[in-house]
Amino acid sequence: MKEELEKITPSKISSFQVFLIHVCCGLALAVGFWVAHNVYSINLIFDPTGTLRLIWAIEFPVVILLFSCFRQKPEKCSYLKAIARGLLGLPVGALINALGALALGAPAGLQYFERTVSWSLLMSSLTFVPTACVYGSCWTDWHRIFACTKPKGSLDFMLCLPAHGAVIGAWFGAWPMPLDWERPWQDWPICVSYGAMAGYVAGMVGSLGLALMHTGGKQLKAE
Amino acid sequence: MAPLNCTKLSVITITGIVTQTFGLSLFVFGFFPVKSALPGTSGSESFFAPVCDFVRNLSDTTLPSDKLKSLYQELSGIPPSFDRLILMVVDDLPAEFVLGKNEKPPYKQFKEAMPYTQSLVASGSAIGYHSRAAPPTAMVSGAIGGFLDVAFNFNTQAMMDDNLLGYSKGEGYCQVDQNVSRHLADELSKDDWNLLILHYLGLDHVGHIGGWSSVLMAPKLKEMDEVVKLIHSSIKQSQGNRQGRTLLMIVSDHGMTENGNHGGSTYEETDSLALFIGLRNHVFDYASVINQIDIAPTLALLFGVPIPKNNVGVLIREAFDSLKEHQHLRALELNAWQLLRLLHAQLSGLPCRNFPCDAFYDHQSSDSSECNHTTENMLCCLYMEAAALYTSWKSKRGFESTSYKDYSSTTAAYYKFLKSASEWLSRRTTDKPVNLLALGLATLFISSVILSSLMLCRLREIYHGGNQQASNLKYSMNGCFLLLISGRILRGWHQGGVNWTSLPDISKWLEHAGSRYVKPLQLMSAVLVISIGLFALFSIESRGKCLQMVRLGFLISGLLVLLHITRYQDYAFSSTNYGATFLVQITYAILGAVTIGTVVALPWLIPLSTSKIFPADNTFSPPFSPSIQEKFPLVELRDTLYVVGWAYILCWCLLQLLLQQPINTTPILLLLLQIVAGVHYFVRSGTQEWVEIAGFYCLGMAGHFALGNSNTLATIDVAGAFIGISNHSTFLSGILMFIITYASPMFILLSLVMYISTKSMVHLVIPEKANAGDILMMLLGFPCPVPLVLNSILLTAYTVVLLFMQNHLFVWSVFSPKYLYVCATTVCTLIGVFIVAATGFYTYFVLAMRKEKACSGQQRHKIVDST
Repeated sequence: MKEELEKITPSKISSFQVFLIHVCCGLALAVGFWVAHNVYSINLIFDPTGTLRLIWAIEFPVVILLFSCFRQKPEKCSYLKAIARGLLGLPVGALINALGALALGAPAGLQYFERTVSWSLLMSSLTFVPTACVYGSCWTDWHRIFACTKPKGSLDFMLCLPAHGAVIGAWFGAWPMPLDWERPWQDWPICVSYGAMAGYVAGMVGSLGLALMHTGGKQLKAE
Repeated sequence: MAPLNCTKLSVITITGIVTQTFGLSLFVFGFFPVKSALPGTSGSESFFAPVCDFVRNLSDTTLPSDKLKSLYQELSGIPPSFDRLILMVVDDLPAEFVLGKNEKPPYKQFKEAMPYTQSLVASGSAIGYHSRAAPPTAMVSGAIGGFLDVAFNFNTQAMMDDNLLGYSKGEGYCQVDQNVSRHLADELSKDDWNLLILHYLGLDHVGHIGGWSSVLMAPKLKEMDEVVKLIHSSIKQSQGNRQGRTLLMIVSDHGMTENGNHGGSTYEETDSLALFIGLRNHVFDYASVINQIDIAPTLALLFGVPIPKNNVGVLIREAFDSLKEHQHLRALELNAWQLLRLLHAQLSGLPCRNFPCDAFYDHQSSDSSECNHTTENMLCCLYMEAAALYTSWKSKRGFESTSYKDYSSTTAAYYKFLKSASEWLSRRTTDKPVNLLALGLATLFISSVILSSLMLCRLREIYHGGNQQASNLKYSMNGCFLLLISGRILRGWHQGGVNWTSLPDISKWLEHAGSRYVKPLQLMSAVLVISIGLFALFSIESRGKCLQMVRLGFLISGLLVLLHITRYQDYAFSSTNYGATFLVQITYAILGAVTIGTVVALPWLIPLSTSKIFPADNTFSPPFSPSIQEKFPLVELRDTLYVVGWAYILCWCLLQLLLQQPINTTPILLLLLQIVAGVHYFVRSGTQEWVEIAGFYCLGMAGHFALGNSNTLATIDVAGAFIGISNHSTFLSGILMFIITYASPMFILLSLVMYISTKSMVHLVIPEKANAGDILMMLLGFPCPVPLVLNSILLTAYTVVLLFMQNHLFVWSVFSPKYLYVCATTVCTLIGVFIVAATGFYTYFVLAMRKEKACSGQQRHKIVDST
């Protein structure tokens, strides 16, 4: 499958590939949850650190392996180099995510440190790593996708929509945190993680829809 | 649609504001009725029939407590059934756990969890009730605790709430209650108390964590059962000795839903338990229901003290079954008198008002035909009927000893009166004038629609104009970082929210560390605030003398504030210290004079554009074309607004430095930094102006909580409200309290003047055919309406929420205080926007007038020259 995906130039990504990638990423999340629940019998509420780490450990390799196939300029940049870029992007993205969460009100105490780290690793692999694999450190591309939010083409949408979805979902997920319901899931970062994953999935659905529309439009034009 | 012009905009805005004020006052007067409650505590007069002059003052409260007790006993004619009360309050225990639901016994799991209590109920040595909690009256049962305290003034061992400290640990919930129980055995053996209140919080926590089916639930119930067993066995042991008879009462404040929530008005949540252990029960069923308010009069009479004046409950019948007939009737009579007094207070037109003066009972008026007309008539008539029956029973009692039929009919008549009076009274406390509320809400809604549609119109016009600025990412990043970081520190400064107040935050940490750290931090922040403000003022190049005066004034007041901080701010005695008060008063005077002087005089005194002055930051300087520069006093306007805006900011900051608690000085600095960073960030970024102002508004609201305010009235800093006031004045203290509480929202609104001068003038694109109205609209068209619109939407939303929640148990403790805060925020927004608008208009018109004069003077000169 890897060779098959690699043959096609990344700028012309088909809607089927988008579908395949999104399904794999979504499945990885689901598998992460399943393993946590059934194999290790932990869940997000009673052991957030462990569960998040487990989900991340399953999601991250899938993401990095899949998205590295769609690296820009594959003739200059080997598959391994793309993977290295993704690996490098992971801590950077985690740092940025953690700082952002802290700035927006995440608890800063030391007892939350582990949770914050595992949460930001997961967030980084949902938001940062795919773009790092595909575009590397190309500042203009990053700028286009995240600062100006002017993506062009299915590939950009595939990177941009789930990432934005995860961040916005995390933000919405934080809404119940200050309420006085006294539920265990209101703790940092449980509902935020749920929100982020829900947003991520919604972003993937959106990106898939856009990809389908895009190719549909192209086919119409071609006819 | 015709385009908005300045006049139209202001007229519509003012209409919206007036509508809003009108609607808000309608709603507030409808929702918070001035309840006619009887003042004071009831004394021995409650044992006499109500008479005309209620003001008759029996000074029996001055009696020593033991004499008072015997006096009460003598007057009431009912020997107290009990001497001591143990009130065991179990938070959130639903009656269903003990008594079952719908006449069915409780679930097996609960029955097994509380075996001792169950056996007590089943054997008839306890009476259990479903007590229904009603929102506004739920506190009456609390009031009796306070009342008993006052009446007896005995050693009251209240071990309530000493256990809030340790409840953050997961396993710790069981410990909470153990703290209470640990002291229990000691206390029970002593005889120095008459009222023991045990408050068990654990069940509440368990309920919140896991609901009914929580694994912790059964052990918790078992623990409660153990406590009941302990108390009951100790009561049984002590029976007969000098400690007297003890009544154990287990009550819960409210129930909970199956997943552990409470506070709503569903059956599960209002169904709480009232279990009298010590009363004999003859007929037991699982379904007897009482109102929570009935507990107060029952306890009062069981213990032989007067019924509280504002009680609206009815005696619980079974509690008095063991009494003799005449005692039971006497108890009913006392309750009836008390309710009648309350009725008199609430219904001035009660027709039977005069009869107690006549001292004889008018038998004719008790025709049942009259009992139907009005509530007043009906209640009165019911009372008369019962009273007549009672008198006839009393007169017959001497002759026929066993007139059980008369007795039961009298009791029935009394209960009929009491029930209907109680129902009427409690409905009166809950009932709201629906029309008034609906009208108020509708008016509020209309006002917010008016304001929002105005906003939408304005937005549409702006979009048609379409002047988007390209954003400059690099410059704005610094401002953005500063905003975020200071916002985060502000967030961590005080824990907002009632539930989180116990969690650690920066202010607690600092206070714990002691004044060694607080004082230098406070001083540093104060110096920084003052220097930032003065730097901004000095950064304007000007040769004008007026500006020097402004700088000097603020410099002096800044120094005075620093002096006050270093010398006097040991909070405890600063309000009594004469020197401190004098210093603060001088500071107030100078600060007020300088600020008002700046606002009023600067537009008249600032030199016109022949001598060009700019804010030091030259990146703002707009490219005004000379023709427009000739026509409008734009540069002067910008500079004046800049200085006036900074004068507002500095004045407000200095006031806060004086008034706020020392720990809040750093948040003031951070707020100032946020404002400066926000203005700089927004000036360079190309965001929509309304978004920026909405952002500012949100910053202000967040700062409100960062200064330690919350949604309860308890966090208002009352001590600060007396700084610099030499003689007590409610009005002045109220103003100071408002200044302290609304420091942050007002700060933001005042800083909008500075924002206008930097932001609007930069992007001002003035068409050639502009007039005064256009310019004013560009200046004020967003900064004034946006806060108003946001506030009106929030106000309407909260009004709807309050209306929905009016039957919620916590309506007076949670929702109403929040609503009061929202109302005060509305007042704050209106004042702030008024100041901004007034400053804008005044400055512009004065400058325009001066410019016109100068222009015509120049032209005259030219004409003179040419001739």
